[in-house]
Amino acid sequence: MTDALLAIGTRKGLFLARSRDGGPFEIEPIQFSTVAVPSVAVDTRAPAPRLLAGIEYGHFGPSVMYSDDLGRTWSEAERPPIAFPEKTETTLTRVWQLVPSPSEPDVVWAGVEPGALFRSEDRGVTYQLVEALWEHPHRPRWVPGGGGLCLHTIVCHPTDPRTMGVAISTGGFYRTSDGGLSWEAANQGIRAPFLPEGQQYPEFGHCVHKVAPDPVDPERLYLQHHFGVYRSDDFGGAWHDIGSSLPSDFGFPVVAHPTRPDTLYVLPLHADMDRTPVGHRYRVHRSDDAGGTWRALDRGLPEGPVHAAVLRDAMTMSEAGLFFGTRDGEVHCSRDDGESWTLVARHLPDVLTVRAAVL
Amino acid sequence: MVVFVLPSTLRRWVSGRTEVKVFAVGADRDSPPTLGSALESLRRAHPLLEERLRDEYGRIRRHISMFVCGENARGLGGLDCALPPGAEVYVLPALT
Repeated sequence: MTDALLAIGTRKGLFLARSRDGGPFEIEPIQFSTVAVPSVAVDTRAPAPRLLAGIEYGHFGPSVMYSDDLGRTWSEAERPPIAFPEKTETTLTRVWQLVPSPSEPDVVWAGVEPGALFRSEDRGVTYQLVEALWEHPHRPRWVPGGGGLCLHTIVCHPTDPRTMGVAISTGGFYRTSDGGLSWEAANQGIRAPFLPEGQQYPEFGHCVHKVAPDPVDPERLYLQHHFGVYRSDDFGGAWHDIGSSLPSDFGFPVVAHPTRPDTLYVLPLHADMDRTPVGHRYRVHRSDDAGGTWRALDRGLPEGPVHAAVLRDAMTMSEAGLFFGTRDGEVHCSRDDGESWTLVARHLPDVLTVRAAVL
Repeated sequence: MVVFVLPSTLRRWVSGRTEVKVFAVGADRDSPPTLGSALESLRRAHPLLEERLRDEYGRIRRHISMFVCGENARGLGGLDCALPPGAEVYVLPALT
């Protein structure tokens, strides 16, 4: 029997859904009702899966919860799981991202607001600030994007724990090759069209929306930017435009197929000043040649018109399928690489994040 | 002894109790305990609850108010607010 778990974090609670033997996903009752859940992770590295949820109590601040029984019960560290050192004079605002390391069994990375990276060595219970990134000379010049000054993306090399990348809005993509002891901006080739001519390729200051690694080539990354879609073949050393043939190169998520090389997905919105799906239909666009060409996929998706955006972490793909959730509370699923879609849920609060795994 | 009286939204962190009692002492023998020292005691006894009331630097969260003898502690010196013997501290989150 094959079990799949889908975790849906929303602005007002967490929803888990289970599928057995490829059957439909059944949504379980709401958890953390009225609490925002901007980040979730399904950590399947150990025999017993662990769920992680970055939550926001509103008045009572953010925290990280974990569950070792697939969400029946949740625990919390006995001290604040993520806290900035006092010398930083900084207060945690939101946990944007939780990523189990593929190369270090007990390590979990957390990306937070204000823009910083934290590392856990106890499978996500407690975390420590990655000081070198916090001390980076660019950091005082990072400015908040529309969602806040957030480190929202963590890209781990699949086998080399020394190599990883992060994306900050608005700072850009940064990478390390020494396990986080030093970091360099890696945004060469990304255009910032709002800057004057001659200054449109800054070293940093970019509004990167999301970055996804190719499943086969660890050097290949895909990037959805505020202005454009890009690919790098050298882990961010240089970026190349792959979005010019899309109906719009504005959007938030980009995800890579978990096993097929050169296969990625985006969901275009009209523009930054009109954050609605192109043509007012949800159309996931897939490229099978690393961004050379694109095909729109919408069979089974609503006829429209639809008006809700899909946020940067609200699309995901794993062996459990391809999923996206909308700001008006719908979740759609494809189990044939995007060729056809079924509705998993509707009438949820606005979807902030989705993650799925085969258990 | 200081009593923190809790709203329903905060009771989940103390097994559903409506109030918790902590010992609090002043900076020296002649000084009364303060709200800050009571919260330090609360942090030791109930760290998960205290974390919800103050941020990691000990600042009372923006949408949390604490009333001492019917007055908002913010107007009584904040964390330096002196607590009379047996004081009750009513914790009130802002309404939304």
